[in-house]
Amino acid sequence: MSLRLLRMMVSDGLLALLRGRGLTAAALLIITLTFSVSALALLAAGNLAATVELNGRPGVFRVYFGEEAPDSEAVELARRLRHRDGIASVTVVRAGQARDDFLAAFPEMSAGVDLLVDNPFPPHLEVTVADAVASARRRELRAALGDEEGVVAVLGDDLWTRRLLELARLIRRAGLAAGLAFALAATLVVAGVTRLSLATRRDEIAVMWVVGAPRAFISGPFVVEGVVLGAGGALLAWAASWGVFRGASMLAEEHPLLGFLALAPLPASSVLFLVSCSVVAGTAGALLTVHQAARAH
Amino acid sequence: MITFQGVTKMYEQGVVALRNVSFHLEKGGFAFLTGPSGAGKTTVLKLIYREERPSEGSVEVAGRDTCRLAVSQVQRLRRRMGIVFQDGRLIDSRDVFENVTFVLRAQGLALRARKERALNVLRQVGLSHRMRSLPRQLSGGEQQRVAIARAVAADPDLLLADEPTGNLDREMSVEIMEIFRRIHGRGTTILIATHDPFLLRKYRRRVLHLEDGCLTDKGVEKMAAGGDAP
Repeated sequence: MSLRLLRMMVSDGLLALLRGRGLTAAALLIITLTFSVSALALLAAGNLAATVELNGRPGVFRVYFGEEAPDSEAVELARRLRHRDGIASVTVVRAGQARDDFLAAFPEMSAGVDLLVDNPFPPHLEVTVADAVASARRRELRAALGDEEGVVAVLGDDLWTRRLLELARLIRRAGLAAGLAFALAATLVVAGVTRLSLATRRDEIAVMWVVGAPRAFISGPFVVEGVVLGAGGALLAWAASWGVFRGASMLAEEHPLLGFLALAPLPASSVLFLVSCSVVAGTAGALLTVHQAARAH
Repeated sequence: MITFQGVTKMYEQGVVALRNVSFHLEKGGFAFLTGPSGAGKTTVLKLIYREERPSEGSVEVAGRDTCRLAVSQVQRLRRRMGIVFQDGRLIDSRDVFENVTFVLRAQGLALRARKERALNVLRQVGLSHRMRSLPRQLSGGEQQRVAIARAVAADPDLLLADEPTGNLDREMSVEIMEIFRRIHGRGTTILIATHDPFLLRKYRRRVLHLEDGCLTDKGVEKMAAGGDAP
């Protein structure tokens, strides 16, 4: 394809969009709205994950040993852990200390605890993770502690963190799935617009065919229309998500209570995903209709 | 340039437009395709520019069997033809100049070449002063001249015209025919479908006469009847 032909296709396509500006605006609005749902889902997922990462990092792990494990095993593990990267401190909590800690936290339970013959509180280690350690590394550390000899359980204060991160992952997946589903919707919208555009320019196209215009010259402008509508819709959806991000950022700045939020705009990879989906959808919609029309000639 | 060999064209519902039509028009030739309305003249032209395919027989244009051409080859062949339609088929939303350059653009010509050629052909048909007029602002004769300008702008090897003087008065018809004569003088093969006996008498050329979809000898008789030689 020559550069001149490509230039003609692009200018004709843009001109057609400009001529049918009402239809163009309506199509852009529909595509923007559909992709906005996906963009906002991805934005929400990203920000939720970032906020959870910032606020929900577990600080202390409790490492429990089997009943038969000697105290020396806990002491030995504590000694090794103190030299490990990312660990701020390790405390050996013996059974009696564990009981005392419990009673200090829940004094109203002391009568019940006194009734017990044996101390039900097992000895354990309290491993405090350094503040600078990221959430992913904390999860690795937790897993590594669980693999140590004699350890039967590692408890941490990260249950909600994990649940929220899982929720963020689900929202992200839903956003991606919505992006793909809306791409199908955009395909149908662009196909409809192309059909109308073809009908409007029916006489012109009929003349083009009989004067021997190359097929690419006839269908090219419609494909350009599809690409522009698709990409335009996705970029406007991105702009909408950016607007939401800016609004939320301003709100967070004004209200100290919202200071815990870790806000960021839609990442480049998500924008690329949305634009790719919409461009493919726009191209497919236009090609589908143009191909059907070309068969009539 | 054009060879019809035993061509029959049958449309849907069994309507037969042409029956076993055979003829040859040599390169640089000039012929009239005559016959009453519905005789099959437009079908012959459509078969030449491959808007239709024959039901039987073969149509060769510039040595190529049109039935065996792919879409891209058909388009390439059409770019070597100029077609003047009965109804002009001008694009109403574009002015005269754009109607002519539009075809040249579709054929991939650069902007400067398009402008030069369009101006040149519009001058030839005497419409350079109406370049910015819309088709609806022109008379029937002027519209037909724009259609001719558009058809010859790309300097085609073959010019097909379907009733180009159908709605024009005699004076205007002669003017149009003179344009065709000048184009033919440059070596372009011309086939004009018409049922205007005046033109056949005035311009003594080969006549292919169709009656009920068949070529008949009446055309030869008409030519023998004579008229003013061009």
